Amino acid sequence: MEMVKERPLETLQEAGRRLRQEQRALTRRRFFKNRLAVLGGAITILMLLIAILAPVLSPYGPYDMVVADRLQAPSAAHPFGTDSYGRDVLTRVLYGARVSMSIGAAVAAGALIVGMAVGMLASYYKVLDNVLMRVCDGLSAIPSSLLAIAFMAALGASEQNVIISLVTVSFPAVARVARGAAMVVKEQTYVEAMRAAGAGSGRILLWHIAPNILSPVIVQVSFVFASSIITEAALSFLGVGVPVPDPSWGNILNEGKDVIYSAWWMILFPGLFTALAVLGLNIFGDGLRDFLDPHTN
Amino acid sequence: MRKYILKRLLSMIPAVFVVSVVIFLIIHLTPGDPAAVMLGDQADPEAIAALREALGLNDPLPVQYLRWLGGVLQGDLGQSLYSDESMISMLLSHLGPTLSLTVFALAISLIAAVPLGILAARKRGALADNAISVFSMIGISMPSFLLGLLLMLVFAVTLRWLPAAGYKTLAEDGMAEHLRYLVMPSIALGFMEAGLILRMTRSSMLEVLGSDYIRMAKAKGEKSLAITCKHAFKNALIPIVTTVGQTFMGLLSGATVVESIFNIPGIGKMTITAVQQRDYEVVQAVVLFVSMINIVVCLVIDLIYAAIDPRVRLSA
Repeated sequence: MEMVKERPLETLQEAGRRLRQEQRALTRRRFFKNRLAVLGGAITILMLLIAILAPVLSPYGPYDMVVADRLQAPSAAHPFGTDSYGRDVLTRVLYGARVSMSIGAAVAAGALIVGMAVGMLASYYKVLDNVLMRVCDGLSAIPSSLLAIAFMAALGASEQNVIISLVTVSFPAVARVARGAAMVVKEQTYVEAMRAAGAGSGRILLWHIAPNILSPVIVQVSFVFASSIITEAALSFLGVGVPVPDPSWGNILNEGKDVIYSAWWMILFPGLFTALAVLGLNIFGDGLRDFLDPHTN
Repeated sequence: MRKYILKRLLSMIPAVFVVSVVIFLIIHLTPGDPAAVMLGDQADPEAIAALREALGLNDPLPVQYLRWLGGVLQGDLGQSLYSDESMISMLLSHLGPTLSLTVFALAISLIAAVPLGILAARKRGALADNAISVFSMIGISMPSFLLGLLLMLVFAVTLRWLPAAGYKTLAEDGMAEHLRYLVMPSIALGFMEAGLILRMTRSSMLEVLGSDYIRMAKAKGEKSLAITCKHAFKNALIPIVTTVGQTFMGLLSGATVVESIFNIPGIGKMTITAVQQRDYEVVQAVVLFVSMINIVVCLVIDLIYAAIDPRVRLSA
């Protein structure tokens, strides 16, 4: 039998690996067919690159003041103009991306971890369920931007406190999604099998439930990322977020508001970046949801 | 229905409890002595001690909480450091502009969003649908303060058609002036919510338009417009009503930022001023007040929902 000699039989592991690879390639192709998700992802990656590369891309330093050049309209030397202290607005907007995107990402990560933990514990332990979910209900009954403002008022304006406040207001939504998904997963036969085989609760939750509820949770977290950028900008705009002179899109807009009659560029450029970053994340989240939701496929 | 109302009322208790604890704790989140923070760096120790005493900060936390809650239940929401007015009357005197702004924003977003959502659903997949989807995407990605500033830049600074900021009351200055000052803030505030309502209307209409009884109506030869208006929209309305309830809340909380841009003397402006002055009891009172409005609005919507759709109250 020549055939067998030319193509030796796969071992079970090899077959498994090949199937997984094929599956992955298929998923990848299906994801890239979802043009919206790709576009949103591309915008988000671009914004993250800008944030990371801000020191390389910026023509000036974010705190360099040239008082003689104050409130200059956009020109070759200053493509986005200068602000009331003669700082380069392009530089401040690029560094602002750093602050705004890193706060957004930190809040998304924090909400992911806290929300997953709370949601999974609530789904798994009946006693905790009532307590944890009532806390979440209570937290989400308070309008989020108002709660964030109140937290910032008490904690004091700083980047770290913005992150703490925003995680507190946004984790309940993530917890609710995680709980809902975990409720379904924990009834699956394989979880029952794990339990019958003697696996501990911690192991089941961490290694068998968590990975299987990630997709809906990630979709929710992408929206948390987007809304955190908005709320951070709003807090900084109101003067209770990122303290000056550190640049964030919100506080550049706040400075721009004071000179709105003479310096439109201080509103337009940071505004465009804010809207673009949020738009990218929203489109990405939408696309991801369509991609992961079996109903739309 | 009575059973459902009772059940729904009871389920509010834990949420209200959590809300009250969180709001009570806000003042205790301040690093160090809240009384010292409130009075600033130059305050003399005696004044700080007096304020500590007045705020009851020397008692254990649970005692402070119960005393605060007792006060709230009797209508005592605390005292501003900078005003002798009672908290309730401060809140009520700032409520008018906020309500005006919120109602106009809601009206604008409904007028823009519902017809566009229906149109998008009817022309599913066509150019109009895609254009409307892009519009709603931009809507939900546009922070209100940003849109507010852009509108101000175009219509107040460049074109000089509208006043840049300020507020005229309906009673003293008449409807025309009132509206002239509220147009930009209302659009800024309502735009994002319009995006949300639009999406909800579209998806809800699509769901109904795909159902069997609509196919039946089509088969019987009913006109497409009549189907949309008479049969589909009525049933698509239920989820839209829920969204509108959430929208109202979003607007009420979003008003904080918009009021401070356009200098409207509402609850939001009052909050920001209190935050800047470290007048924590005012901040607490506002958050409590708005949260309670939120909880009541949610309750009312759930009840309306149950009244329209018997399945809700029967399955609960």
